Amino acid sequence: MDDDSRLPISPQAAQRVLLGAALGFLLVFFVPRLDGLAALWDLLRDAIAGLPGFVVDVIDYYRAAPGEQVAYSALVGAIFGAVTTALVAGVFDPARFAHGRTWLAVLAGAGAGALGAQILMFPAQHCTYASDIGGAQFRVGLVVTALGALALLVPVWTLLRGRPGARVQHVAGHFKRSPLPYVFLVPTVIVLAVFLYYPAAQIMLVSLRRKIFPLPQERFACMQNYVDLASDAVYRNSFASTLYITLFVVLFSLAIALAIAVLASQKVKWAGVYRTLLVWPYAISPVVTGVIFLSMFREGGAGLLNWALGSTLGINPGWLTDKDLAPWVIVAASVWNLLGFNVLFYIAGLQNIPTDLLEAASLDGAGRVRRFWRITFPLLSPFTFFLLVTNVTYSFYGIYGVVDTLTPQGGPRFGPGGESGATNVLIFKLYKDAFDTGAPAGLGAAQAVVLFLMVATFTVLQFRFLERRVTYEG
Amino acid sequence: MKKLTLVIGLLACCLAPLLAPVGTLGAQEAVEITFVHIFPDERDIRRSTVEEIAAAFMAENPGVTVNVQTTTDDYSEVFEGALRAAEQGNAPYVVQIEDSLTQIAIDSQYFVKIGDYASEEQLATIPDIIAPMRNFYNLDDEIWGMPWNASNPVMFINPTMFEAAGLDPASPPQTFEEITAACEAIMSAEIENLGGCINWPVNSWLPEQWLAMQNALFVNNDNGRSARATEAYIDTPEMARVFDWWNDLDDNGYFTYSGTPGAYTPEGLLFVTKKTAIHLTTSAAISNIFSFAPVMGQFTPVVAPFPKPYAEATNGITAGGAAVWVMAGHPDAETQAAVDFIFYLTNTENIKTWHKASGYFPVRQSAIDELEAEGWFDENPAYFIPLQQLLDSTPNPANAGARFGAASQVRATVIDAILSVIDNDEDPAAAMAAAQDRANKAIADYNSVIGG
Repeated sequence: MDDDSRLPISPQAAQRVLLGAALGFLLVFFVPRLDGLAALWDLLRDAIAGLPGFVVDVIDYYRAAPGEQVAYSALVGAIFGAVTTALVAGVFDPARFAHGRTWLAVLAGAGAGALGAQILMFPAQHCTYASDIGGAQFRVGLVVTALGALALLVPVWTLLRGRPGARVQHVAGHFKRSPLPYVFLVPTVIVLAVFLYYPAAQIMLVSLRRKIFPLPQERFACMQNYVDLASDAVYRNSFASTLYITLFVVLFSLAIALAIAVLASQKVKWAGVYRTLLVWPYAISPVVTGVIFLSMFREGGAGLLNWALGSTLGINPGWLTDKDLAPWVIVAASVWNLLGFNVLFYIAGLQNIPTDLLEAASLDGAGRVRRFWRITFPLLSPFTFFLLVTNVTYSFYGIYGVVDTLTPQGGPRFGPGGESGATNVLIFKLYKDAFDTGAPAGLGAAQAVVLFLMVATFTVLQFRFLERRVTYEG
Repeated sequence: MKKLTLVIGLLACCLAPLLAPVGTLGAQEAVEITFVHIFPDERDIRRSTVEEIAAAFMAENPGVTVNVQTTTDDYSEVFEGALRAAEQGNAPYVVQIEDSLTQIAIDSQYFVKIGDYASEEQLATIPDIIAPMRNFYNLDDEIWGMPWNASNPVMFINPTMFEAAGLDPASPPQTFEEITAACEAIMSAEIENLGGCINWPVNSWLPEQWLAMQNALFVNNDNGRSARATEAYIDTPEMARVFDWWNDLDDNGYFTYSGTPGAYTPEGLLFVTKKTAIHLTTSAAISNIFSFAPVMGQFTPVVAPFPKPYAEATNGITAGGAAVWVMAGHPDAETQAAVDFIFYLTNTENIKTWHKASGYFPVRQSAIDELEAEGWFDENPAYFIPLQQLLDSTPNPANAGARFGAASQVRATVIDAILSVIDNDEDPAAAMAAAQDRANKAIADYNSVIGG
């Protein structure tokens, strides 16, 4: 066996060929797409070139803006900043917060609040502080002012708390005082800015307007869209159905997946085949899941389930037309859709559980059930937590495909004139209100903002309070 | 080294096709227009018919290239896609726009009036368009879109089931009352596997037909034709007649539907698979139902005129369907070519071809005359029924159909109200009153933004 005979070419040559191929591919890939790249570049260049103009606009706006409204917004921001800073100082050690100079900290908080309030009040043109504004819009305006102030206050608090990383040993890195890390960050930042931050900012601006999708006309509406949402019975019903559909989807998908995973982890013949088949629904998109369930639950004599029920028991439940049944069809389809994903993770988790612990417990006389609840289940908690977060996100966002295919009208109607739908979950209503022909797109945008705040809050809460109960070490 | 050469050669072969598009840049500069329609299915004879007509047009006009584009069968998606493209400066030229989108398309300011670009000769062919279509599209006042694929609702019956119930399939029911009576007979005839007596797609279009038949408006200001509509007429005695009848049919178990509101195909399937005995749907479904019923249900259906609310409700039905429009923002030569293509697409000869291929009714009197002379309607009587019921009516605002910007939203509220009555047993009167409020709010919202 001589080594040379294994490769027809030298490793160096092979490397060069690979490099050449890679470069060639990049060239071939990007050259026909130069137009697109040029468009992206133009977009970025325009954005950067537009910055000075934007600053001028801001200055012009504040010069011309009604001073009273700006002053009120700054005052509200300052009061909010001062009060919350004082509270934060109280929660942390007042002696350490801002080195004990609490009054100075409160003053800084007031300044940051007044300035931060402008972050959201400038795009809203301080409209909620106009003298002729309605009470409801004014109250929404207060919340928006506070949110804007918070955006600046949180970093200020972090600064005032002293070095947050003081406990962590500062390790001298190779990147110190080098622009290199920022260069590496640029592509990511560009992608995030173009495809995430910019559209998100646009949506917030649209939520302050009245629009008719897909027409170009629009008119400024201040916080009216948010006020309308708050007083809309359809939106409240949509909120309620989202909450309980989410609750049951998460509960059932986790419980059933865990049970199946435990069974599939037993040492049986063909275990690999079972596991593959169990994971398979994960490869199916929500829309296809919806179509599969539609073929079972369709009515008027065309669905499999009612055919079976009708010919044996003589009943024909209105699966998709009864407001008490339709949400359960959605729950069933979503649970089935999520099952493969959850089973996959639970099987992986179960394989990670050290057998010596289980054996030790077994020797100590712990039964199967006790071993499961005392050892297996707690050790699975990182997986359960991860799945909880992903499943909740699915139930809020990913469920759209299932709802749209099974109940394209938002489900059986109820309420006056059938205004509400039993499966009209938030993400579905949002999409309808934003993209149906003639839809009130501003209202849809407001829903998108509210839904985003909701899921963001929920996720933060989960990480804050639930993750503490998670055991990561075996 | 042979192997290295081989590797490089293989790589080159793999990459060559990727390089190919680069070579096609810089084609010749001729007038090139695009036509977006909603028949994307490659097996659909309507798609190939459109492509043949476009090819014939290009052969007659060597300087013009017509690119026929079709990706979706959803009218709203085509409309929204066209507007998005126009926003980015890539507007298509000729777009198929559904009738209910007429006002919103005008309001979008992305379309030009075909009438402004048409030649005297072309304009002279407008009176040849049948009166109900001219009435529906206001063609005598201004020409935004040219009616192209037009259809209206008809009734299908299963003659075998009618005979089993002791009814005469040759004299199908003509009014609400007669349908209820026929259903009573059919449901008590113990026909196997029957899901219900009658089904139709749950939409707002059919109730609007019943309003037109009763000479009732759907929105104010002459159905939005004398001025912008500001109010919907949902909570009216005429609509109550529709809701109450529908509710009775449902309560008696005579009415059924697939559980998917608005969908046409699942309802057609229920009829051809013998789950129902009577089926109301668009005349555009005639071809499909006639080809599927013998295969899936072993019967040949009978087509009958769309039923009236009562015998004296003879004001006629509206002419629905879609028209072809031209988008703004193109150089005059291209816009002109687009308008020329539209008049070619809708000339007598092509309207005949289109009718035979699709079952959409011919929108030109000259085409109808020629088809009659050829004996086409004698051989295909089913195709004459939708045309006949349309030509029978004298045009007026009620049977012209509603034209208003918030049409999609208002129609959705009508569907919601009907569903709450038939699925959730709401009181029809309360549902109609609530729907009226919601509809008026949608219209007010629309007008407040568009400036009506």
